[in-house]
Amino acid sequence: MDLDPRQYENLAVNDNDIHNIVLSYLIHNCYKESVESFIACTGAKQPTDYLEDMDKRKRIFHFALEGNALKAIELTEQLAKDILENNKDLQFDLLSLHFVELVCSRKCTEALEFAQTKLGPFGKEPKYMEKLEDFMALLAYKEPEKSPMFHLLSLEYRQQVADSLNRAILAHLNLPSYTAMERLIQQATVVRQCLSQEAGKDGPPFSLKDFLKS
Amino acid sequence: MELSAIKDAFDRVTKKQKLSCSKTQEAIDLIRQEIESVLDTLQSVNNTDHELDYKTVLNELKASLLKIAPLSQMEGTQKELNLALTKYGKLHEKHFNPDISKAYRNVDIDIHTLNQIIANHFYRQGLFEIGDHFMSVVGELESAAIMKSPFLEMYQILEAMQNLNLEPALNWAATNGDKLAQSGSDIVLKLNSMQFVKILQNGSREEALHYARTHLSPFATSHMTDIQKLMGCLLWTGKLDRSPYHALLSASNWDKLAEELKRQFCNLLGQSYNSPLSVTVAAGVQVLPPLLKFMNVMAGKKHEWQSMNQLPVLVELDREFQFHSIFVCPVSKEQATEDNPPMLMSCGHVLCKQSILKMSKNSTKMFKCPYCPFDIDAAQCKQLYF
Repeated sequence: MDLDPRQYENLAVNDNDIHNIVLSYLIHNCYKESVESFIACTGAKQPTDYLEDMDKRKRIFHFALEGNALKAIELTEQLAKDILENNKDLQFDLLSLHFVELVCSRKCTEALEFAQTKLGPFGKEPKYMEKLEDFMALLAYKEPEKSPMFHLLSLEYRQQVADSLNRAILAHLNLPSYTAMERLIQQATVVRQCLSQEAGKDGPPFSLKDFLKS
Repeated sequence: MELSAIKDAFDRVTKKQKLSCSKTQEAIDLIRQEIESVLDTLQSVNNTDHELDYKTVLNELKASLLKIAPLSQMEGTQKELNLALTKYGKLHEKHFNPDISKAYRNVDIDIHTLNQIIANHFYRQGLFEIGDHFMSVVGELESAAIMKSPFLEMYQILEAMQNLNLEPALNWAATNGDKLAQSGSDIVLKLNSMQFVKILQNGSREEALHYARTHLSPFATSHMTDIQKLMGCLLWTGKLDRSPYHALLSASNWDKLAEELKRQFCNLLGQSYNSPLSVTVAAGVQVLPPLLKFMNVMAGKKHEWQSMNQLPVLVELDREFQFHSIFVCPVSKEQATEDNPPMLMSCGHVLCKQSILKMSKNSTKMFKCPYCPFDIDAAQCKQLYF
């Protein structure tokens, strides 16, 4: 059951704030055409230098998403040399994406060569050992897609790495890593869950999906 | 067996012996010094023109030797040594009874079976020449070949493994793969893993990868963790000793694998890992002391012990020697036998057959289970096999 609208309907919300929230979301996700249409329609203030950076980010994001990690790394280093140097986890994830791509292309010898030269050095740190073993185990299967580690070959995994890379670049450009939209939804969800608990309702916990349907 | 008392007694003997030895040496040294001193005196007089009364010199020597009193010095320590030795001997006799005849039964032994057990022991220990010689002496050489051949194969495999050659073992595992899998053994994986590590250590990365995809991939789902570790090794080809997986190179892994192979080999032959002879001897060594002790107490009742159905005293055996479950009926407090087996009642509780017959008046009436409110029909009871 929804909260009583009287508790919030008198709160004034500035249109500009909403525009900025939507705009930051579109910029964050590199929806360039949508950004331009949105600015044209609303007359919102155009952020400085956003287009050039967004273009680069979009290309990087898509390369990572397609599994072309080496190109993503190359472009990232052009955009900001020290991002990957200072973020070993991200560097490992991107290199492992390329390894997975080689495995999927059945280039096992090449994959092994790449793993030994590029991923091997990470093996000296225990926190990467387990991940490394997961990736290396893919080589044991003639059909890695049917292996217990199949999730490493999935679009979801590439999406996860691409998101991490995008956030790292945004942080480097002194932009928020998370959009205001995401944060607001997260906060609203937590608040609604707390209110439900306080009210002592026996029903199911608050679900954003269900709320958006209503 | 408590051996510390014997060790202490032995230590006392050695201590006394050392003391006696040093005292004797001391006395001999003193005597030698006195004699050498007199000799020097005599020599120096010979070199000059002085007259010397030899008798006086010798008397002085005699007096000096009496003063040293070597015999009385050595006598005391020798007495102590003899005493310690006597005590040690008695303690030895007390702990190690040389006559074990009191603690065994006169059982009719089938000599042929006994010979087979002894020969089997020799063959499974790899002592083939001794086994053959023994079998020829007892005139059973024909059966020797049949008994020996599987163990010959086993020792050829083990010998190859000692030389770090896994080929014979892998061939054996491939031939018996299905049987090994049925018995729940993972030795095929262990052998292939060892071969994979060996290839890696030789620095052949592509060969190792090919080997893994051919021989390790069948285990990739059932033994995922092992496979992940092994595949991780590929990153350290040729330098595995400096890798996080260096433990895989330990020589003890080969010993463990050889033991495991021996165990599985015997298992496939339908034989126990340890030879019946070694198990019998090891168990016998454990039970003899309490039996001997008991028989010494019951010295006058030997006949009674010979005719008993079970051991007169409770003898504790280690878990490794407990091969069969024993059931004691909670009603009659008697151990189950072939004639009086354990029976499962419809309620799930177990009693011996005799107790059930007694309580059901020879299966003529229902009776209540002594442990729960169930009414039991004797005809519904099933014999249990442990």
